[in-house]
Amino acid sequence: MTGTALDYLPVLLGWAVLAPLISFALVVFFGPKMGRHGRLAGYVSIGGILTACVLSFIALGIWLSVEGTGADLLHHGQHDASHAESAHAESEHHGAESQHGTAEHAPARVPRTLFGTWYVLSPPGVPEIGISYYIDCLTVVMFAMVSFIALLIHIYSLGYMAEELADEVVDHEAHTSDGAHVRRRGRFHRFFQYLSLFCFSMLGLVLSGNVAMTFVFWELVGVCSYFLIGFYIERRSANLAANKAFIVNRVGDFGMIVGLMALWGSLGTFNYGDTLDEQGHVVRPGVFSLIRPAEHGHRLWVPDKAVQAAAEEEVAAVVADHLRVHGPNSQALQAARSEVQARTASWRQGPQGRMAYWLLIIAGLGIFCGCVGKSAQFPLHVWLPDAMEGPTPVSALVHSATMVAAGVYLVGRFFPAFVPEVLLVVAVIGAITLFLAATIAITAVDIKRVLAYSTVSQLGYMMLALGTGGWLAGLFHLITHAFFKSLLFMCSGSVIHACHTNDMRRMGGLLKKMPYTGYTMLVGCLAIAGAPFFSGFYSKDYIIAQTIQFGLDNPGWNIFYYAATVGAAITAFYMFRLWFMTFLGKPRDEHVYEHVHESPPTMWVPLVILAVLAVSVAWSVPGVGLSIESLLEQARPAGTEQGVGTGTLLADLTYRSEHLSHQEAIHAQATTVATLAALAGFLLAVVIYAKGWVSAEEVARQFRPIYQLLWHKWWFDELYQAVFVRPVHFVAQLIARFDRVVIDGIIDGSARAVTAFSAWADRVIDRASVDGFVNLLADWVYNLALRLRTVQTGRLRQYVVFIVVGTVALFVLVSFWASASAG
Amino acid sequence: MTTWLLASLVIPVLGAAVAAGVGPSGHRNARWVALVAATLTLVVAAVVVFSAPAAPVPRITQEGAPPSEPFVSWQRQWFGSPQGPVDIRLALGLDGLSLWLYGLSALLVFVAVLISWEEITHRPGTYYAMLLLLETGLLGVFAARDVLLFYVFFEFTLLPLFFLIGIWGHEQRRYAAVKFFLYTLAGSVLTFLGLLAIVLLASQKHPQGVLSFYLPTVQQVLQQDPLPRALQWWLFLALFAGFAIKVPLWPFHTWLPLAHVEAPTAGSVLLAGVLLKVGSYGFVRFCLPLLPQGTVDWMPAIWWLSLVGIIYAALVALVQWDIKRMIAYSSVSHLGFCMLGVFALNRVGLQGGVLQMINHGLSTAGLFAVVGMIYRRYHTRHMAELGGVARQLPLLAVVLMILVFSSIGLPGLNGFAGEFLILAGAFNRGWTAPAGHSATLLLVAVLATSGVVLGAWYMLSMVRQVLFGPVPPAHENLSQKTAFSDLRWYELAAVVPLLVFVLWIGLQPGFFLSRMQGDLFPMADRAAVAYYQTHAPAQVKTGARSLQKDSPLAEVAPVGESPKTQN
Repeated sequence: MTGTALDYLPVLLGWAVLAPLISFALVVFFGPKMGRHGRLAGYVSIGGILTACVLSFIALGIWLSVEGTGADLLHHGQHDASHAESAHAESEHHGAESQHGTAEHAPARVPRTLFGTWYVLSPPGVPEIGISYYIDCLTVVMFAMVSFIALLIHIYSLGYMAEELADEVVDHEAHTSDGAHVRRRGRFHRFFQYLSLFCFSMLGLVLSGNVAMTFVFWELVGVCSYFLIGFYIERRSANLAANKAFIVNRVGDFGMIVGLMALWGSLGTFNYGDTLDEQGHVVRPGVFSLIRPAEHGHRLWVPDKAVQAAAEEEVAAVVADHLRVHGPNSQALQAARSEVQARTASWRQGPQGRMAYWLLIIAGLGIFCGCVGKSAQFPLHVWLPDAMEGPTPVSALVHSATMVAAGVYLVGRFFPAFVPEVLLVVAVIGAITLFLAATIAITAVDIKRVLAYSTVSQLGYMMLALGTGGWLAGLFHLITHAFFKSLLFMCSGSVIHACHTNDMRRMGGLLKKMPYTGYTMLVGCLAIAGAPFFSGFYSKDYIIAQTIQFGLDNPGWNIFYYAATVGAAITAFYMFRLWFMTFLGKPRDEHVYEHVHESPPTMWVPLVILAVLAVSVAWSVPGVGLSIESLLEQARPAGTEQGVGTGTLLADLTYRSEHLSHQEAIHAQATTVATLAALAGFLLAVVIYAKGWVSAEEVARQFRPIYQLLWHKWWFDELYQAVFVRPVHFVAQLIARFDRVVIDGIIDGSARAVTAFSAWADRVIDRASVDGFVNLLADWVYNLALRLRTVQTGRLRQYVVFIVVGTVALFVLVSFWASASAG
Repeated sequence: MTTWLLASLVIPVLGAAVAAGVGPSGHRNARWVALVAATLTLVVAAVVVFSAPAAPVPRITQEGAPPSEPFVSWQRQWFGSPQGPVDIRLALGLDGLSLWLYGLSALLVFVAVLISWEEITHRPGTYYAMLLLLETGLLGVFAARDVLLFYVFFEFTLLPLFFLIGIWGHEQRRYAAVKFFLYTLAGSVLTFLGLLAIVLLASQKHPQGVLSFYLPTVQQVLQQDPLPRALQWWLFLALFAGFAIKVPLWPFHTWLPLAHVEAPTAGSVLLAGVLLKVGSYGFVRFCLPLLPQGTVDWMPAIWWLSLVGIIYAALVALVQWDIKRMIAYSSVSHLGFCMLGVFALNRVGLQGGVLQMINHGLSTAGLFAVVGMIYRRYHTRHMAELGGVARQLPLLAVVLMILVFSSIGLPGLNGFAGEFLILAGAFNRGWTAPAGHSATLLLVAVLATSGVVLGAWYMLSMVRQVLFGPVPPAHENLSQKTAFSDLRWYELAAVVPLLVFVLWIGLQPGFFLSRMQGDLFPMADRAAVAYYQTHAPAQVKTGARSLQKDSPLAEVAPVGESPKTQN
């Protein structure tokens, strides 16, 4: 490896991670003393995230200057793919030539990655968990996105949380025992303290170079989320939501731990990248090179290690055999080693190979399980809407743009190590989630909950994209979604700030009073609905194109395409329903309307910046060809360019190159369908909510069962309450009683039995026979005691002194005697 | 170092004598005496503990190698002589297994003294004398290297605790004290019989026929010529009786919640923090090296008992309304994890199990301490009667929060390191077990992992009810009272050292693990070999003994942790 400017990236990004940690530490210890009511704490936090943001953009600049924009890759790829397609058709005739030209046989492009370990936490002899980094273009882009949005949200929070800058804050949603509103001290600095800690954890999560470290930061963002959801600690609902978020996430983590253990059991490493020595030779391969080794063209490959782990007994038998023949010497081991290597190929074909493949599936599903929890996918999606109890900037940052996207990020990061069967599960879960959540958003009336369900639905889109093999599509949508969804949340925050309510039924006609908020939010709605030339348009297009392509490759799996299209229509509908209900029409609650005012500049300036980006982030810089796609394309994991591969258990399942979905025909179909779907949703919203030609109440009455289903969020909360929470409590109560009555009863009962037996023995045996002897003994003791009576004073303290002095004296005596007899 | 080791055992006794003698003139003098003695002991113990070298990790364990020498040791002949016929020694020493438990004991007694600062007004002299005597007993248990001496200290810890619960406890203290005493005594008598039998049987195998109670001698004799399998099974059962009650393994745990609830705060702190560990320590100290075959044969049973304990106790904890009772049940659940790690019978699991003993000692002791502080201020431990504590006592809330997250196993805090290693060890045992066992063991490991979810559930439910939400009307005016304030200096002094270690172990577990590995790994390797010899297919068994002789095998076999590669 020659030295390039890229060598600075680990240091730069490392400091970008640490900067928020430093501001966190400062605010923790000095927060309350920072200016009046801790006002400056906000600026300290902003300083931390600003540093991180600047460093991230420097890193991005370095990357661009060294590696280029990647535009050529994108077009080259498209060219290759279409070429591949035609080549396929013609390969009968031009065998040799097409061999050369097809993407599927071309040498795989290996993305530039930097991997290294700063500090090994675990001592030798345990699974290696180090503080390590894994940097590719995806990491750099994520850093830029996370730190930039976080910076804007920090600034926005200065305005939004300003009411915490007081000696006494009245919390209208929490009540004391006598029914009055809770009055408390402002907690401005506390908010920024958690925000800084969150930024540290989130950036650390993106940077981490092994799954174990990812898991560590995974838990840390979870804790930050717990604290931020429960920020208003006086509100019961907030505390319940915080607990729900943490515990539901723990269910996902449970799966993730199992996955980690399977990974370690089959591969013996957690590292993403290869550990190199000074000369750049691979010392220990990481997960990705093990599963997609270069010598097999980066195609999916069950690693030898996993096969040998599955063939545990056979390996042992071989070794034992050689040792018996040669005796325990290195020659025997050498022979054994080569025989194990030689036999691995045949084991690979047998049941051991199948078991090794299962290990990979378990590892993949386990890790995806964690992602299901964090990214609020079905069936663990229930925590995210409740998490809206937190302050709105938190919803914008943590629960839409960054943390919940971490699950998608991890699926993207781990993509090369997922086998096709696992990806299919990812796609199914994603499709279910996107449809389910979109439908619930139709009837929600809490402005933040609409956005929350929309977030869940969009995350489902990303999972669907990744699961159908659209690596670029999924991550591209992750980036564009981060911008427009944080914009939408911050707009809703601005609205809530003005109205002091979340209920859209009490809003209406706000556009006149809040123009900045209203128009920026319209931009956000257009972006998420996928209006042409807005960022969401491009990324959603990719996803739908990918689902079409997947349906073509795997006949019978068109369902993903339908789900994505229907989802697009519903998305447009509920987003415009939200916007119309909030900003158009007549004010529904005069009292609310009177107090409405535009938010301060600290709040609306970030909105405008984000609105600009929500439109343009997906555009490519003219002339240079630089775009998010081209950047992401640079990080495409080795071997996935030609498609993930085909399934082993499901032999029909095949994933071909993602570039195939960029062909004109498919792309045109996707664009048309997506736009028409969005238009349909938009028009329906216009008909019902803007023009009022059809009454929403009337529709609800007509479709009452469906309305009820959606209104109650498909009864998931009730279902989980009935199926998990209540039974667990019921069983726990039973067990607690069992513990008291049965287990403890047996102990007490046996004690009573012994007592009863003693009493009986006392009557029958003692008095009859032993007494006489004992009485004699007692006389002696009695006489002795008479003489010792002088010592007896009845004061316990003195007794203890006697005991202690006696013990010490004995100890000393014995020691002397012992040393004397030893010496 | 030897002098310091001895001093750490003698200072508390002297302190106890002085404390008992200062008279009833008030608790002020006694508590200061106790604090000075406990601090001195802590300093001395710290000097000893931190002088321990970080051992290089042994790659292989030579069969028949003598047990490693502890880095600090002292001995005098007690009865007889090494040449026989009887050999009982006053032998003390610390190795990787006992090192941190010894240090933890010294730390927690220091904490216990500070916790009792204002709580104990009734006969303080005797009280502090008992605490300090208990300290000597605890330090002695972990330092003893002679079977008889160990047992003497083992029983000696019972008495002071019996009085602490029986005299200074809450309403049902008599019942709790007697139950605790009799139950543990009943078990430990069987343990003693088992130990005696082992020593007697070992003497028959001793070249000179010496009846030696000196543990290294016994260990060496039995390593060269193990006891018959059936015998080991019965002897394990005997040792199990005492240790399992002490741990406590399900279903021998019912004394624990009662004793915890009735004990004074310091009693709970020491009981949960150290005394329970005597049980798990006993398993590692005696069962693994002396009865390897018995350990292997009992392993599945212990796995199941641990698993039931983990889930059962977590469920019971979920429906408790008394905070102390809830934490007591969480102890049972956590100790289940420790036992699972120890009986994974591999390097990772064993060190995870031992590390988790320390972790549990720190976090649960801390939790009990904080609950004591809450009780002193609100006079209730009923979760429903508490609320909004975070508003009234922010500092205490922060401390409780950190301890709760440590207990839940949040990365960056100590609990995670232990939990992760234990699960890694358990899963590894599952992956590498022969086909017939693999599925069952993996099932247990997966089910045990669900303890992670339940742990978060009951702990955070407690936090929600106690720390957050509105302040109940009964407590609204408390803050005006002069006696009511956030953490006092002595309370801070008690919890800060705990938090320091919670963070230290969480961020740098390597520091602690590397000082244990030198002695734990050989133990784990022997146990692993015994496991393998018992369960491997026939053609492998013959080779297994010779497999231990060389190390390059590590490169032959796939994953670094299977027994044949280790040895």
